[in-house]
Amino acid sequence: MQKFNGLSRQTVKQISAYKNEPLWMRKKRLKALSVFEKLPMPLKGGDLTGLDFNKIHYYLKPKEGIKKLWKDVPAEIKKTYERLGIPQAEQKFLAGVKAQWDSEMIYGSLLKEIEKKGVIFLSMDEGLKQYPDLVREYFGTVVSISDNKFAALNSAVWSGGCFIYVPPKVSISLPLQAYFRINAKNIGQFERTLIIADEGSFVHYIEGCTSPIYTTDSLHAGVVEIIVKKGARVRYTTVQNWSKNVYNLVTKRARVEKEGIIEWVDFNNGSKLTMKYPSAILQGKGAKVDMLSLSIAGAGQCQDIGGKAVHLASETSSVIRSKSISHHGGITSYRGLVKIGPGVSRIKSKTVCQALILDDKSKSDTYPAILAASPNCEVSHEATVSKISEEQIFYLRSRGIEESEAEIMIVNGFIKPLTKELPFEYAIELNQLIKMEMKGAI
Amino acid sequence: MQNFLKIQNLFVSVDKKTVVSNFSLIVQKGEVHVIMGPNGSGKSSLALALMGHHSYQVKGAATIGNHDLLTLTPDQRAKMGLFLSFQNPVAVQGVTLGQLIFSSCRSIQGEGIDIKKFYRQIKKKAGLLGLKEEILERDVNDGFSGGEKKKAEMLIALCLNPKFLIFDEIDSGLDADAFKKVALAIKNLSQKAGVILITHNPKILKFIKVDFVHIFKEGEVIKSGKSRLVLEIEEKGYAKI
Repeated sequence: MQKFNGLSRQTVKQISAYKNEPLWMRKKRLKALSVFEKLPMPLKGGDLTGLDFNKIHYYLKPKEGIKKLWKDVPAEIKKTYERLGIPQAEQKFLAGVKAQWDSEMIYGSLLKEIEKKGVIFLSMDEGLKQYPDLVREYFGTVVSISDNKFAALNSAVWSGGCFIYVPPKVSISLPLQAYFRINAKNIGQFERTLIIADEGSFVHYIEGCTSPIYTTDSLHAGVVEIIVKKGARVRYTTVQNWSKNVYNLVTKRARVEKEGIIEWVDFNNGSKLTMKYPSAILQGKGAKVDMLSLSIAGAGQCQDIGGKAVHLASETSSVIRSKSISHHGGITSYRGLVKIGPGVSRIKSKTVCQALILDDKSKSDTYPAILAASPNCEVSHEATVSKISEEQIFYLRSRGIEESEAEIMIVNGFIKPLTKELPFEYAIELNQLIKMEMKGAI
Repeated sequence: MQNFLKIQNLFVSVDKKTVVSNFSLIVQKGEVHVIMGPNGSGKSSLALALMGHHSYQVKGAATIGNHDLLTLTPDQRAKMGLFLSFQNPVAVQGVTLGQLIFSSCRSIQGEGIDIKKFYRQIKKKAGLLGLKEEILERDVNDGFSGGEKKKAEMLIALCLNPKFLIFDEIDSGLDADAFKKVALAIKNLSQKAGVILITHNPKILKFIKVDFVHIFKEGEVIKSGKSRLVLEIEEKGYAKI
């Protein structure tokens, strides 16, 4: 098995050469590496001391890399798959045992529909091969290589991820799902996704699934860049459940032009530490961002989640709704930023954070920041922290509902604003997952 | 055997303060017992303690058939056929009334409920109480008016088919029409079940045949009698009884 261990210029060159990339991409990677080496570790957001950059595999050649054996997958993970009722073929895919996911049969008609409309939907590697000019024009323009240490790392060693281009005025009715489209390398550690929604178009993209993604490697540092052009709308839904050894450090950002809309729907479960703050740069007049996130932290876990909205044009608006659940000693944090540039007016921004803490061992914090360089903006922030009320539990129990079931009903009620936004099958899976988390079954 | 709710020498305390002393009562299926008494006399504490509320310590005995209620959890008590209509039911955000009723029925009556048929029946019952169907889609008691809360409690009672029901002031805060609807619902329920009705309102006797009246004061029953005892209270007030 050929692995590129340790991080050096040599590793980066090897990755680029192996993928047969154009020279400009190789140069970008190398530049990103030197930026990565210079940038400090983030000071806020969680404890990263357990992270050893020398112990990470920076690239696995897809074929050799995936020769993992089913019998090597931990029993705990297998049990979870069984409880979630996932077919074994799919279980193997999720555990990284099976390399290819045969989706053509199920999604063939959707893929035909979108191809006819001129939509490009490829893995990022394939996108770079087939549309190098388009990729070059936008790659790194929303999240620059010097944005933060992990974005730099991703820019140096990225592999997999998705490339989507939607032509002007094209609207795709069904969500595009990465999970079914692209083989296991997509859920690699350093995935890179680029979505370009041309003027007046609409696309909904879903990544991930509720099943725990098992990986022996402990770092996931993805980058997602979205360009929402004039009057376009993009919804980006993430449903993620990493195995509990993973540091999940993702940079997600959209640049939104005049009257464009970006919607982030983000569900985070699992991982040891997740630091993720989907952002929107509202660049054109009347641009909007709507963010809805839910994170769940159990024993030994920290979910440092938030949202950032940067208002650079007048009449832009942002709504950030963040929900979190902490249990069995888990820690959830909301870290948000609302920034209003100079010389703009009629800005609206609303942040609502709701934390549910299920026991005395668990914790939740809120770190909002509002930086306004223009006066007369409508900016609001509210945060609530609650526990499951004993009176509510008693009331449900008095109706014959068992205590554990009553708790699950209340928690599922708490997350309903999010599940309502998900496709039906995801919503069902999510409720099921929460039931298992609460029972401590995972 | 399950035809009796027997409460014997029940003591209820909260934070080491006794709120109900030496309370005994036998309720037979088909009987209506009214409990009246001044505010703060311990009536609601009695009701909540019987349902198994965590704030109360209890001594004594309360049984349905052979089952000792006091050793059971609230949900087990509900499964034994005990029902409490709360004076101030809490709001449960994110759980709709329809969902609550469905979950309760499934929990008490077991799996295998035909959902479509079930919802048809609930809607019909809601209509009889003067509730709009939409209330089933709203979160339990969240933003309900006073009247809606009481009617929703009654709706749940009608759906669960309990053996013994305790109504804690279900008749207060209702307008005349709603009052009548709720009273008639109690009357219907009392044909098959035993009812304990905590009330301040003698008017309810116009609609329901009451078998026994118990006057509660400072945590104790100071007098029991037939329904005409109600008239006596109306005349003299609690102070002179």
